[in-house]
Amino acid sequence: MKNRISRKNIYNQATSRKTQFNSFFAVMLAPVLLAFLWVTITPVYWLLKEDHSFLDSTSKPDKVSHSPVNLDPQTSTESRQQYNDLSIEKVYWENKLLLCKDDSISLSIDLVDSLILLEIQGVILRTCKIERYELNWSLKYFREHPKFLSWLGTPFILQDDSASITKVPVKVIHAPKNPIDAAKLLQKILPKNDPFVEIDLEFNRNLRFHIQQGDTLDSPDHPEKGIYYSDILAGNKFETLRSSVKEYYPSRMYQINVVLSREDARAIYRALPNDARLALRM
Amino acid sequence: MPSIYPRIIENSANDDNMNRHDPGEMANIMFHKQTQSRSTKGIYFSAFFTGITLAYFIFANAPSIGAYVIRVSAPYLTKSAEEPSSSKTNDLLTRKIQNLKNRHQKYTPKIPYLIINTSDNHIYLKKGPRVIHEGPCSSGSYVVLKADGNREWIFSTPRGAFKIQMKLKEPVWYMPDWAFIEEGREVPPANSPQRYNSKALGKYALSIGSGYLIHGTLYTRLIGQPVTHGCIRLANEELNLVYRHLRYGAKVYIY
Repeated sequence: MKNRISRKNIYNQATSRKTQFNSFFAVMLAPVLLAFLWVTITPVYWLLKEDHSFLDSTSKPDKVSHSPVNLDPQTSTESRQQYNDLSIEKVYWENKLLLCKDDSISLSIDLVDSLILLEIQGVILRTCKIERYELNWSLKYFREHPKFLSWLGTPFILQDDSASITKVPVKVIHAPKNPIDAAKLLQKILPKNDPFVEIDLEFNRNLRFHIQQGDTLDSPDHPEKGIYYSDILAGNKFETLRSSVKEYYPSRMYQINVVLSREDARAIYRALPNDARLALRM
Repeated sequence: MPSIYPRIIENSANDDNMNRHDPGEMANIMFHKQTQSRSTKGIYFSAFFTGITLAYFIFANAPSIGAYVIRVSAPYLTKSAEEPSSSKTNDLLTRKIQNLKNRHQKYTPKIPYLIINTSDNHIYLKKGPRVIHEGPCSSGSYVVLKADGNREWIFSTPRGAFKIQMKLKEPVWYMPDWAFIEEGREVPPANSPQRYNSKALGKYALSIGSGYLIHGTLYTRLIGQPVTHGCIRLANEELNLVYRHLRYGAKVYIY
């Protein structure tokens, strides 16, 4: 009798262990599976829904541009990738040629070679080495989208900008009464150190370009950075911050974050006119 | 055998096994059941947290995963291409790009030209892509000078592309009103000899139009600082080289 019950007990225990084992995996895999589905299905949905709100009147018409993705599934991925890269490079140089005809200073961003060029009439004024950069989710996805070349097709136009430094460092001085006062004025004219340099350039077609100085990025000697961030929270930058928090995936704002040297960041910001144009390669 | 789990025995008084086993053994079984239930909860918790951690890693890599999914699925899900990719197409594209690069290079002047960086107060004298000389300069101070009678001047250097319009040796500066007001001096009449200064501009001056000059200075210690009234000041070495290399019509780019 005792043996029979023990066997039954063992059987029950074994069954319960099996159930536990299954439940363990079910509980563990549920969030993994959900995450995986979200990550894989959402981009496909985004691709299929054909939302082309990122294209505007300045975009290049579809039939003129090459498709960035070769849509023949039989072609090897490598060849397709090469074709995409070459198409993007071609559009970049076409845009640069367009900018050559412009009399104002323009910007060329070459993320492939990690360079930012300030140009005017085809002459390179300044070459800035990108220390590091990152694309936001939307742009990473969008790079694979068939409409990507149409988006890149013509130079981007600067719509708005904001920065932690002034574009024109104006100092107002009242005329001195005598030569002694005038001598003291010279000290006022000499420039003071700029604060931590951080710039936001917003172009048309939902492109945002964020530049940050890199060489003193982690330095505690820059309390100005903290002040700047509190400015963002308190002031007119609140809207930008709110939209970046709201920027859920896949968002329509295509953002490139770039880290440059302090001098480069400052020179770019001060050199760019209000309606600066941009050629992009990535 | 005396039981050490009286409460459990009491609770399981209606159990069938109670009739067949002694209370001690039953208490043992119940104890194991409860321990098992407690450990099951623990296992579920650990499973859930493991799952959440794994899901976090998936989300952390979501941009790359999503981009890959799009890359793979785009050829199947979107309309067919007009231009199929092949090595021939790629070669053609490469040739087109080279052609565009050559066209772009033609925009760089063949004769020497000057690039002035007003942000760092630095000049680059170049010929083609080659730098002949580089050195410090001084550019506009961005001072707004306000005087009586609502008169004001802003001392800024213009940005853009300019051409050398005039080259002068031993230039004489006709001092405008602001030069006197800024120094706290009385403004002399327009034809006064006090207005003419033959030393302030140095040995040479090159005009880029609209009254803006590239010239020398007496105050060489301030070279490299933004202290001018809009002109570009150079030290003697740079001024000599710039004067020698830049022809009439040579390009000057200021940014």
